[in-house]
Amino acid sequence: MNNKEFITELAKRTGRTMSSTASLVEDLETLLKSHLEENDTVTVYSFGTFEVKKKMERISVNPISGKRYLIPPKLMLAYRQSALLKEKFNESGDFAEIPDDNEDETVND
Amino acid sequence: MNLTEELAEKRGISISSADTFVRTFFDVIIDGLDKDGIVKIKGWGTFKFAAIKDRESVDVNTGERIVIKGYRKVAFLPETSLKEYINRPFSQFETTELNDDFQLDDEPVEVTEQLTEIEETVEVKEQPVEEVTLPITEIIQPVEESAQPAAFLNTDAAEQTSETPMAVVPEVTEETKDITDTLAVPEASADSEITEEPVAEETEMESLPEIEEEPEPLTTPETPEKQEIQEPSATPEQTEVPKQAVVAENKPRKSWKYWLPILLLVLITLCLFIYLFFGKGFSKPKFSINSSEKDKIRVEAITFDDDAKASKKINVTFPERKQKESEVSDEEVNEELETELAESSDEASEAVEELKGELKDESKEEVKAETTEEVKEEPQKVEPKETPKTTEAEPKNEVPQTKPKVTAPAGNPLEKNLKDITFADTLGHTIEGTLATHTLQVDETIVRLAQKYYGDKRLWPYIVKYNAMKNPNSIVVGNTIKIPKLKAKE
Repeated sequence: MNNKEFITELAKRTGRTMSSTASLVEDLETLLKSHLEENDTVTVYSFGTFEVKKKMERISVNPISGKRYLIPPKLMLAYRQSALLKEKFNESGDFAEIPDDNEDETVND
Repeated sequence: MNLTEELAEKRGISISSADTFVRTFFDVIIDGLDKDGIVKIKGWGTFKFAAIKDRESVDVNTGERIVIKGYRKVAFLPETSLKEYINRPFSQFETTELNDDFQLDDEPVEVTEQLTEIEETVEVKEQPVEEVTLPITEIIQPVEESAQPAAFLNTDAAEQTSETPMAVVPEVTEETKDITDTLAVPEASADSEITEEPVAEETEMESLPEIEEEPEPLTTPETPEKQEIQEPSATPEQTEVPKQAVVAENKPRKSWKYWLPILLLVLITLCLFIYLFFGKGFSKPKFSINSSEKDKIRVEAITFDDDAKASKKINVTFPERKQKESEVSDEEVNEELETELAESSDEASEAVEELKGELKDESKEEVKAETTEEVKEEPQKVEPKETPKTTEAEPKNEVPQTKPKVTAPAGNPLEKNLKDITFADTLGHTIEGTLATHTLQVDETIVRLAQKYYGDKRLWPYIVKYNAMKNPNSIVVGNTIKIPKLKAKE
């Protein structure tokens, strides 16, 4: 589902025009950003949590050239799904691998 | 942080409609995920499934191995614009490549760079210090109390002492060209004015401490004028010092002006020599201290100028003392050096200690007046310091060819300092053939090999050089390495 489909669906359900829906989505995003900017966590019940996490700087090695790089610290937006969502999407079956290669390797010695 | 209310407020819509909008927004995402497995929203990013595989774990209570079943979770990949917005505070950072070839080598290089900088700034004054500072610092290290003031004193003392060899030795030294020029003047004056030989020596020694403040006149041109005016005031103080008194009084003025350029010349040439010969090896901490301390001194001098008399007294004395030095130094000193070496060195050390005590008090005006008194008092306190100094002083006096030999005693502390500061020695040795071959074992490094074969880690660069290694940080176990035979340069 791409952006256009998403807006269309949302507009249909809320009974708004596409353009107002799109601008509402945009506003929602700026609201989200403004919260995250202040280091708030944004929790949407039934959907999940958005929060900003700091990644420390680290040294990484290019395995081919062997060169070492210092990767600077950064702030990342992290999303964590809610338990409800996890339940909903895992009610049925084994989703250990999304491409449905049905190799049941659950036989562990 | 209520998204619904804020959205209603922002758009001017009812809370209920905003609420339904937000709800449906996330519902649509969920439905889209359910249907297509992926939802892309402009401005936000992509929601999609990520698979979590089965994994094994241990039941905490029973200790049994259990399998935690895999599942799929919703992952959110924010759009680049959103990512960048979040990361704005750190946006100035960039990934940089680390240059880890010869990391060890970098550090000494830094040190030398700083040294050169410092040397440039302090130029003229420092270089005389360089000869003698090291031994003195050695002395002072045991006495840790005298932290900064002491250090500053040391350097000054070093200058003083360093000048003594110059003055005393000139006939013998190799650099005589410069010094001889200077000598010509003192000799003339010396003939007429030197009354008693023992007195002369002592005056020299005592004059040393006060020479310490020479830097000020050099830097501040104002001083000479004042000196002329106040020399009389200075001289009485000197007379207080029993034996000195005889020599000084009237000579200094005329020759003082004469002396400045000559002294400068000598200092500069000295600097050049020292820099050429030992340019690499100086320890940075001391120099930094010296420079800063000297700044302080200058500042003090400037501020003191306000209370003109005080500062002038201080400044005035220098020229006189220098001359005394020179006068004394030429002939009589040499004659008597051998007999009175021990005594003179003791006196010199005493004088240095006086200076320290005085400087702590910061009562510079009183310095000269007090010197005589303090000389008697302070030596007792500082006796431990004195003994090392005497040892140091003797070599200089005895061996007038100072340059090589003064530095020679300095050698030991220098090496210590090097050990503290540098991690590699690349200049002190030459490679002469192969000492051994070594097959690398696990956990061995070039540095360890250096420690093993030479007992000195800092010699590792020779191994690297001898084996023409491109990257000494990556060596392979089992490779054979030739250990060069090293001979210390002289």
